[in-house]
Order: sequence, then structure tokens, then C-alpha cells
Amino acid sequence: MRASLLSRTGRGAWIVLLALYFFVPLVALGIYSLWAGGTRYDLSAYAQILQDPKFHETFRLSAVLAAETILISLALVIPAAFWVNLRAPGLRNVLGLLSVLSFVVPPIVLVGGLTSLFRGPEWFVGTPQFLVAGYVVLSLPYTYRTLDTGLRALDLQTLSEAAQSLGAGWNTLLWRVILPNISSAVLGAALLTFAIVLGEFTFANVLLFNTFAVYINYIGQTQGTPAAALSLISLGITWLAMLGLLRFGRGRVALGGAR
Amino acid sequence: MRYLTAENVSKSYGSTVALSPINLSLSQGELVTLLGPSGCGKTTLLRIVAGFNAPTTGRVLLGGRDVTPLPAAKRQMGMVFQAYSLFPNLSAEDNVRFGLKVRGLSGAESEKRLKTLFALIGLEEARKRYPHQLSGGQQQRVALARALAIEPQVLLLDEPLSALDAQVRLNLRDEIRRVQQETGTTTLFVTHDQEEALAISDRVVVMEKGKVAQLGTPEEIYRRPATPFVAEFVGTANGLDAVAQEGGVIAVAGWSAPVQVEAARTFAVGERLRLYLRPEELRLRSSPADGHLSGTVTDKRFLGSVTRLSVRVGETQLVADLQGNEAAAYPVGEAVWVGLSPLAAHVLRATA
Amino acid sequence: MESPSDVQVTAETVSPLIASSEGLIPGSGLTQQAEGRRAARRERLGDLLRTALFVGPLLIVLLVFLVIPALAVVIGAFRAEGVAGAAGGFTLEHLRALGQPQYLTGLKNSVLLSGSTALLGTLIGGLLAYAVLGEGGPAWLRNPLIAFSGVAANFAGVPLALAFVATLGTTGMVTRLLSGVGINLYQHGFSLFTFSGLVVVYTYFQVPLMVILIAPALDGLRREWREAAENLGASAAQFWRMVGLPILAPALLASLVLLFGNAFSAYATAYALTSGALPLLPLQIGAVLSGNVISDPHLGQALALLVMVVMTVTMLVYSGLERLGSRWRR
Repeated sequence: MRASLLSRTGRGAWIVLLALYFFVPLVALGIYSLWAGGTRYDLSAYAQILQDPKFHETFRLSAVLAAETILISLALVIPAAFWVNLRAPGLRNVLGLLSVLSFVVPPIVLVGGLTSLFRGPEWFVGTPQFLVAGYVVLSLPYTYRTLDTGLRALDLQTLSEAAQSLGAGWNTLLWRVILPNISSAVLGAALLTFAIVLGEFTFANVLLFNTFAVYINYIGQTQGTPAAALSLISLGITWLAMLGLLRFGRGRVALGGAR
Repeated sequence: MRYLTAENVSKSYGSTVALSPINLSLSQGELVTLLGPSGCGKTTLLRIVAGFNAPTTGRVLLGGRDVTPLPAAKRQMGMVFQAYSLFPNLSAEDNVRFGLKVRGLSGAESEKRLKTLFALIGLEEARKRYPHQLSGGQQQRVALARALAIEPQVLLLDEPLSALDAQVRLNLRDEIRRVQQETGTTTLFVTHDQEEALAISDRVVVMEKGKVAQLGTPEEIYRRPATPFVAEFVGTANGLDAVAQEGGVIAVAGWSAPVQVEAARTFAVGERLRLYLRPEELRLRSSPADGHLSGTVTDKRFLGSVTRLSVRVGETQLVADLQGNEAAAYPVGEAVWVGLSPLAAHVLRATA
Repeated sequence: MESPSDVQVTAETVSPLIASSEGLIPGSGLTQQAEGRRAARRERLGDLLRTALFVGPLLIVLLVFLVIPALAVVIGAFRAEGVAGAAGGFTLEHLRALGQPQYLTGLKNSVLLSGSTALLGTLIGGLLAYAVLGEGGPAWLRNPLIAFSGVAANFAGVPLALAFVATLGTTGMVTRLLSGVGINLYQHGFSLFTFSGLVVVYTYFQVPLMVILIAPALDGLRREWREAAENLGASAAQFWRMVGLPILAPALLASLVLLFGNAFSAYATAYALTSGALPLLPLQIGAVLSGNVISDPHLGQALALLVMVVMTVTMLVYSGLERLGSRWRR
């Protein structure tokens, strides 16, 4: 009865067309990762990767960097978001501005700033841990937004006053009261950060560190099939993380990652 | 005289029946209200008439012509929604002009219509304002003007007052009636507020669970409700169980003596009945009187225009409305004698 | 068990109570007032300290690793290298170096790539969002679409590049399929590793981003508007022209702008596809910073400044459009 701009068949055709555009590359990637030369298709590429020490090395490095980034991010953001929501709503603007700055200073620019500013000490700048600094900044807007949303869902004022009237200090309040109540937001932020760090390429490539994404690219220059397999693995992990975020972040879709 | 007709219209969603087959006709210039609680099917029927939903069975006829196959855009009916229907990106006058623009009408003719309409709704100075700058009541008035601008053959109103404040609601409902009468537009009005329905309608269709419970003038449905549902939905009523006896005498459960009620004459002896007494029909006396039942005042509420007394008669609790200072004569806790006019009382067969 | 610092902190928070209870104790009005003022000052100081404690670390980290590096880039772009490494004065030399043909080309390519993929993303993503999330769209597809868009918008960089190599590369699946039907992509001038290829690949994460950005605005299109327009006799095209698109316009434009910024600053995908060969601003910055082509940090900073300027303009336009759009929202 309702006249619509897109007729039913037009709508369907459009959706199918786009579904093709989005799924064909993934299918192609999958098939490619199984190609073992000539007309053979098997899982040899995956076996090869799993035996490659460089794979384990770079993956572990990225995982470690991710863990460090997550811990540091959470330690910095949770108290800040907590305080802004409880007592200092004026600072919300400052943090919003910093998030905007993060957009205006994309990774490729930030890495330039960081290298020009930090020439030493060697134990910091020369090691991959230097990347953590950049990663914390990179993941900040998303971490902050996720945790802020989680905190806003609580009646922070009432919770804090109730806890304090029962004798809790700030520490107890944070650890025993607030944290358990934002556990899903924390998990979401952690998953998001993990996905970002695992896929991050810009910083690592420019600074010549061998992270997982850099390794994939390096392999991709010479051997297509293992690179495809690696990409699929990397993709799978990222997707699991994002789906986990959707589940725990209560459907809040966030954006972040290497582009 | 049957201008707008819903002929055997019904609507089912799978196995759920939203609307049982309904037959309804409006005369030209009439304002008919569909009244009922949520889920009774009144909005469904309205939307079928409007063309937003297709009926499962039946047809809609306008001026004798079958409009059922026509999409909503072609039916030449104006609709006012409950809320938020003004286009936010257009000013009030652009909103009202919308239907005219769509029909290619512009220039002097459309300007003339706009002027008349804005004068009609009393918002000449607000013409250039945007919806978010108007109050709820003002928005609904603009919505009304917008619907009338296309000179519709039928005006449809879907609970237009439900989202407004009480005082605004009262003012606006009179405005709607006035405008409707001045333009002579055949109107179908949907509401769950029975006071609204009684105040402005030529006829009321009381609906319950997808069926028509009663169709009549406001007086008819108030004084002579056809079913217990109508009696209890429209206005306040004292509903009591009773059993019919000889010649219009009924024995009321919880009362010591039977009473005479004219309306009960038609019922056979032993039939289970429901006796309905409107609060304003009860006569109170502070001393015993013939034909009056003895009771005690248990509560008193001041409602402004009336004072509502709760009176215990036998084992039943009755509600009586008294005007002004009359209530002072019956303090709480004191004995009182209650009389009911045998003509005013209404009796219906009890539903299981 | 509470630590002494906790006990202290608790006392501080209780001090307002003490201050008010002091007022209850009968005594001279003046001492009560003075006590009250002192307590209020103590509380304000305490609050300030606690703000510093809670929010400070984050702000410091951001200051050191975001704000100052950004400033360093801006300043460095104007700094002249002094004699023997000493800090020199300011100069526009580096900015003038931007005028070299390769950097102008890089800017042009970046703008064209970002603009075209932003437009494509807006159109395709907008229509996709409307097709699924709009009225009459398949309800079962709504949540899957949002979920997929959330994931796909982050799907970029090396894996995406490789996926497209496997699809549209010289021996890619689709390439081979098409040549089997007689359409030889690469002979017709298409190459995944050039500008047009990047457009195809960038669109992959631009479209989902658009879907996510426009979904709330589509939700905000009230059903009553569509029905009222229909009731007044408007066709679907008339509704969209006179009501629907004007209402959506700010959100559409804002998203377009955001998509532009998103593509403009992208590095990983382009690098993985072209190994830095294509002249694009982010790739050129990377080359300078890695010391591959030329090792002039100030040039890198000048290039970075250019990117920052474009991104700032993008952000300003975006927030302006956002404010415009919220005018009508009640």
C-alpha cells in the first residue's frame, strides 16, 4: 500500500549487490590462503605459519604491547572518567577537545611528532615499548567513550554517597563499587584496544618495529598464500574482539583501528 | 446521506483479530468519535479508512465510491496525528502549504487559503515560526490547519489531544469542534477519553476488543448504555448485581428490600441483571423517607464542581455526586437515606 | 582495611558535615561564619587535589604524547636548522618545499581519493542504510547489518589490502573470473595498485562507517512525517525532496565530511597496496620519516602540518554541520 522510493525488488537487488562486494573479498582471501601452488588446495600455509618462529615472535610482541596498552589506558582513563562524571563535569569539554585533537592528529602525523620530540633515552625510544605511548593516545578516544558511557549509566552520585556513608574511602569505592559495575564497559574497552593494537601498522612501520601487522605485510611482499592465511587469522581475531565488544558493550558500536 | 462508509471492514494479523467486521456510516458534516481503551481497534479502523493499512475484509466507500484500492495519497482525506507530525524543516505556514504545493497549487489561491486557515486557528502571528518554536497545542492547531488546507472530504483525527496538557486539551477540543462545524467537514475522531467524546461528538462509537459495543449519541450512550462495558467505560457508574422479580421489581444483592425500576419490566423473573446508577441520579435525605434506603456516609471527596460521597447501603458501596454546598448536610459517619429515581436507573442483562 | 590516606580522605569528605553541624552548636555568629568559610576552602582545596589525582595522570600523558608532539610538528615545520645543530630561527622554507611537484601531486591525490571515496561511501552507504534500516526494510537484517558495519569499518590496513589482492589483483579470483568471460581488467587499464584500485578498496571501510553514522539520523525520521506527507497527497519522491532529504541533509553532509577525514589520514591500507609507491600525502610523510627517500625531518613536519590543517578544517566543518542538524531535534 505504501509507495516507496525503492521498490521491493530494487531494494533486494541493491542489498545483494553490496553483500557481494563485502563478502567476495573475504571469500577470495580464504580461498587464496588455501592455495598451495598449481591446483592444490590445502592447509599447508597455515601449518607453515604456525611453525614459523617469526610468526610467534611478532604475534607475541603485538599481544604484549596490547596488554600493556590496555593496562595503562584503563589505569589512566577509569579514574579520569569517574571523576569527570562525579565531580568535574566541566572537564568533559577538555577531554572532548582532546578526542578531537586525536582525530586532527592522525597516527601518521603523531608518529612524526613523537620521533622529533623523543630522541632518547634509548631504553624507551629504541624498544617497541615506545609504541605503547602512541597506542595509548591512539586508543584513547574510544576507550574514554566506552568507559564514559558505562559510567553514565550508573547513578554515580548516589552510589558514591551510599558507599561513603558506609565508611568507604576512595580506593574502596573505585575498586569494590565502581569497577564491578562497569565491568562490561571495561571489557569492551579492552577488546577494542586489543583489536586496534593488533591491527596497527602505521606507527610500527614508520618506526621500523616488527609487530604482527608489519610482519604480515612483509610476508605479503614475497609469499601470497601465507600472507593471506595470516590476514585471515588477524581478521578472525579482530572480528571476535569486535563481536565481543558488541555483546558486552551492549550494542554500542565503536570505531578504531589501522587505516 | 451515507457519506463515509466502512462496509464489513475487518483486520486480522495472522491469527490475531484486531478488528471484527464492522459496519459504520457517517453523514456529511458529522463528527463521529471512535471511543475505547487501547487495543480496542479504533486506531486500526481509522488507519484503514485513511489508507495506511489494508482491510482483511470489507471496503471503504466515500460518497458512494469505493476508495479501498486507492493509496492514502489519493484519498483526499486530511489526518491529524497524535504528535510530532509537523515537518520540522518547514515553518508553520510551509507546513500548511505542503498539501497545496504537492497538488501544484500556488500563488494567490493558496495564499488566500493560508490566510483563512491561520485566522481560523488563531495563529496568524506564528506563521513563520518553526515547529520546535511552537507549544504542543500550537503544533496541533497547525497540524489541523495543514489537514484542512487541502479541503479534504473527510477529516481524520488520531488522538490529537492525548499528548497535551489538561488545560490545553480542554481548549483545543472545543476549537476542533468549532472549526469542524464552521467548515462542515465530515470527521472521524479517535480517543480513549470518554469526556472528550461526549463533549464534541454528534455520535459516538464505543469499541471493545475489535467490536462495536454501542453506537449512539453522547446522551444515548451515557443514559442508556447497551452493555455493561459501555456503562462502566463511559462516565462513573454504580454497578450492582440484581435479580429480576415481578413487574419491574428487582432484588439487589446486599440490599435489604427490593426496589422498583421501570427499565427492569422487560426482564423475565429470575434473570440475573446489572443495575446501573449514575452518581448524580442518587437523591440523599438526612431523614427517613418513603422509598429511600437507609445507609451511612463513609467518605467524602471534594472534586471542585461536585462533592463525591461514598455511602454504604446494606452490603454495597455507592458513590453519589452532590452539587456545591449540598454535601455539607451529610457529614461522614452519619446516617443518610438514599433514593433512586425508578425512571433514571438503568438495567442490563448481566454478562457472565 | 582502610589505609591512613583513606581515613584522611574520608575525613575531608565529612568536613562539610562538620561545618554544618558546627553551625548547629550555639555560639557567636561570627566564629560560626569564619569556621564555615575555612571549611569550605579546605573542601575546595581537597577537591582540587583530588581532581589532580584522578584526572591529572591522563591529562599529563596526553599532554606529553599528543599535545606537545602536535605542537612540535607545527613548530618544527617553521624551524630553520641552525648552524652545527643549534636551533635556528623560523623560516617558511619548508612550507615552500611543499610546493614541489611531487608533494602537490600527493596533496591532489589525497584530496581526490578522500573526496571520491567519501562521496561513494555516502551514496552507497546511505542507500544501503535506507534499504535495510528504513521503512519497509527487512527487519531481520537490521541487527546483522549494524554488527557487520561495526566490524567492517575497522577492517582496514594490511588484511584488507591482501583480501583485495586476492580478489582483484593480477591473479585475483574476480580478475580471473572476468577474464574467463572475456573481460580483461588489467588490459583495460585498471590496476588494484593504482589510484582507482585504492578507491575500490577504501570504499570497503567507508561504506560501513557511513551506515553507522547515518543510522541514528534515519531512526530519527519519524514515521508520522512520512504518513502525514502521504496523507497530504505526496508521492515518495515528493516526500524525500521536500521533507526527508532536507531533514537528513546535515547528518549526510556531516558524515561525508567525516568520511573525507577518515580517508585523508589513512596510511596502512595505501602502504600495504602500493608499498608507498603512490604519491599520497600520508605515504610521503611516512617515506620522509623512515628516511627512505630523503631524511629531512622538517620537511616531514611541514607535510604533517599540511595534513593537520586539512583535518582541522574537516573537523570544523563537521561540528558546524552537527550543530545545524540538532536545530530541529526536540
